[in-house]
Amino acid sequence: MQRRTLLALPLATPALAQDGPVTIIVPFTPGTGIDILARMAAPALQAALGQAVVVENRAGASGAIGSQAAARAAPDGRTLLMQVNTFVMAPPMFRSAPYDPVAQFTPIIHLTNGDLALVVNPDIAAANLAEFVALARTRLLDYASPGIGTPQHLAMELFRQTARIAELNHVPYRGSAPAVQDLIGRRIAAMVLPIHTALPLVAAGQVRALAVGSPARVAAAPNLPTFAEAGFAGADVDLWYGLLGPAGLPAPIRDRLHDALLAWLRRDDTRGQLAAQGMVSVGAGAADFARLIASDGERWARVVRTANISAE
Amino acid sequence: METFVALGGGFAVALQPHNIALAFIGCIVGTAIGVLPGIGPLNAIALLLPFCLALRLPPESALILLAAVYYGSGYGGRITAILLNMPGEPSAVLTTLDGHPLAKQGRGGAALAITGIGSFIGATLSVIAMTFLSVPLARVAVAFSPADYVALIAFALSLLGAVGGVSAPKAWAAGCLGIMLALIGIDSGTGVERFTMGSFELLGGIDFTILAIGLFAIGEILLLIETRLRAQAEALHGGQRLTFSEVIFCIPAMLRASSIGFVIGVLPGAGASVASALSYTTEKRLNESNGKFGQGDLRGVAAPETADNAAQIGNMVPMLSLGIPGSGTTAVLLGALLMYNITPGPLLFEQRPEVAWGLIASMYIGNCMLLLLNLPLVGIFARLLTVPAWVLYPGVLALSFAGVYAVSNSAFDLLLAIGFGVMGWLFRKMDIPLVPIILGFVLGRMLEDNLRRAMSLSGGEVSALVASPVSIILWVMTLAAVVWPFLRFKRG
Repeated sequence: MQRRTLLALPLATPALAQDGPVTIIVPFTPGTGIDILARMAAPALQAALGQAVVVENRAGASGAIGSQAAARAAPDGRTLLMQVNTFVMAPPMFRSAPYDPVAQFTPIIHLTNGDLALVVNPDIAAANLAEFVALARTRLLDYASPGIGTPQHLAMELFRQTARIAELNHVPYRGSAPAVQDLIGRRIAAMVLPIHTALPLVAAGQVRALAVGSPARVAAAPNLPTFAEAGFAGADVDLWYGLLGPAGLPAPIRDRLHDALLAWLRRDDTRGQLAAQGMVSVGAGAADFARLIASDGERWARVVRTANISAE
Repeated sequence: METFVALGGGFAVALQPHNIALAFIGCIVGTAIGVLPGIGPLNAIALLLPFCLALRLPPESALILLAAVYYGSGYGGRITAILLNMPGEPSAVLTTLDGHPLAKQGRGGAALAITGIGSFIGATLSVIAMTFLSVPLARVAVAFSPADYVALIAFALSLLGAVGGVSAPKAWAAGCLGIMLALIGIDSGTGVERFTMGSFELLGGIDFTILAIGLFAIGEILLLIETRLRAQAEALHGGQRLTFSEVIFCIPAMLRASSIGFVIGVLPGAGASVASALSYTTEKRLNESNGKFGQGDLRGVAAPETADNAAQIGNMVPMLSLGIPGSGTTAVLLGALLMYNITPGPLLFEQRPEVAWGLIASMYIGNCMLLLLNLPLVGIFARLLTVPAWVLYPGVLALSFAGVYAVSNSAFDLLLAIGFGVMGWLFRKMDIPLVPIILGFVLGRMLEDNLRRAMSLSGGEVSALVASPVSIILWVMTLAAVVWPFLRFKRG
């Protein structure tokens, strides 16, 4: 009897109702910047759509697992995907591309940008980017990243290629926290960090910032030069966050989601919440977002090829 | 003196009625979360976070609530570990070693009571240490290099033989299996895919929760189905209640476990699992002559649970004073602080004293609440075993699957957990201990990551592993721990 009862237990509940909840897939773990962004946006979307909106974390394989799940979902607006640039950076690094960021998705809205900064530990004798490059040409410097193929890793690799530094030693970590620990413990020379993580460490004298990755200077740190101003045009990089649906998402659904989120982005309290996560609102439409995905995809594929970063 | 004034200000914040209420709610939610296998404080806090914002809770109140969920969970994991041999939290794995034998002897209530007291002592001593030593300790933690972590983890691994019950070789083999399981997935150092057999789901590696639930919860249930063993309902009534002299008897173990737990917890790269493993093995080694570890020694449950809670609090030290989270859950807490535009770091205690000290004060209060909640409830918890098996085990199984599914919403993980369940069932029949598998799994990944970093930073120079005094001491201890059983064997 008992055995039969156990075997009869349903393992999953299939078939959602037609007007069931909207799921935003976040392909990273809870508590990450992108997860918090999704959780901030979800209530606004829920209010605008009059439908329950759930955030579902499907982390793993640099976000590829969640992206793949979203690509396979029906394009009915009930499965959405929150993504960050890793979306276009990851595919070239796998042996076989897990998804096609252009063909398999419908861009909905480019929500926000996150600024990055290049920082060094205070023991590194470089007051600016040019001195850092000069130093890196005389001895091998270590830099940390939260993992292979993360925006922070590829940003540093792009900078190395732009500045024509022969070699930098990449030390990958699992996530930012242990990497920052070794940076402020002065065992790691340099790292690219989100600006809201970097600035408090700068204020406490634990790291020195050399440049920001954005094309223009950022309001939070007006004295930091951009890469171009420091003489390394073309090395600019930031994080972008946006919402996508599966390919073939009908335009009316797409526009409804876009409009709801744009209204949320323009709210005053949203701006403050985003700033706390080191983000600024963008709110670019589907066409602009699609162009960004395509051009960024090519750019990072080139960086990955040049550096020969791959899964094998 | 300054500290007392600041702490006083903190109590003024924490003792406001709504903050006391929030701490109380957090403690209850936390305990519940801790009991449920697989569903940890990380998910709970991530879910509660938007509510805090929606309710417009001030930052100190939100943090008091979320932190209470976090440390409350440390009280919950032991309950199912002791009564059902299924750890509710990763760090409660060690608690099964003596906890379940105690429950079988009818002393489940006593084990629950002593671990409740131990959790309280560990957490409270840790909060006291945190009150006075936060900033200097965090500085020391930063000085701990990857090479030092290698030595620390090697030391923890060298104690594997002590957690495997009767047969040390079986324990070692099980530990090695755990290390091998940890290798599956993308190699974090080079990006190479290892042992994924082309499976996309395995790229990210096996999640700890899936392994633990499979081996312990599902494996145990499979064994129960086979043996049709009635839950130990009759035995429950036979056992003696916890006596005062037994509490006194466990105090030295708890004090040692508190210090081990706190120190390990402060290191961002280690964690509660390492702390509970080290304190269990320490007690076992120290009390070899008068202990019955593995067959139901009260110190064997008191030590790991005390260390677990001490480490959880210790984990908050680098998060608050450096902005470096030592675990996934403290990372979410950090995210919560950032959402409120509060930046943890050395300046937090000066710039936002109401947040930092309010939180610390609330942890004193919260832990008292948890003790008062947990002790009277021991009887009710223990009654879990009187629930008929046909109700209890399907329920546990459903919750286990829910926990596995919650990890990444993947049906593949459910199959994986069932696979581990079958493995756990077979291993139980063959008397292969499961705890070393779990420890090997957790420690193996940490060891590899840190070894790679240490080697990368030193340019492949192996002598870097013994470059600091801390690492030399740890390596000597490791060597001693490996050689010790052989010496003892010869003497015997």
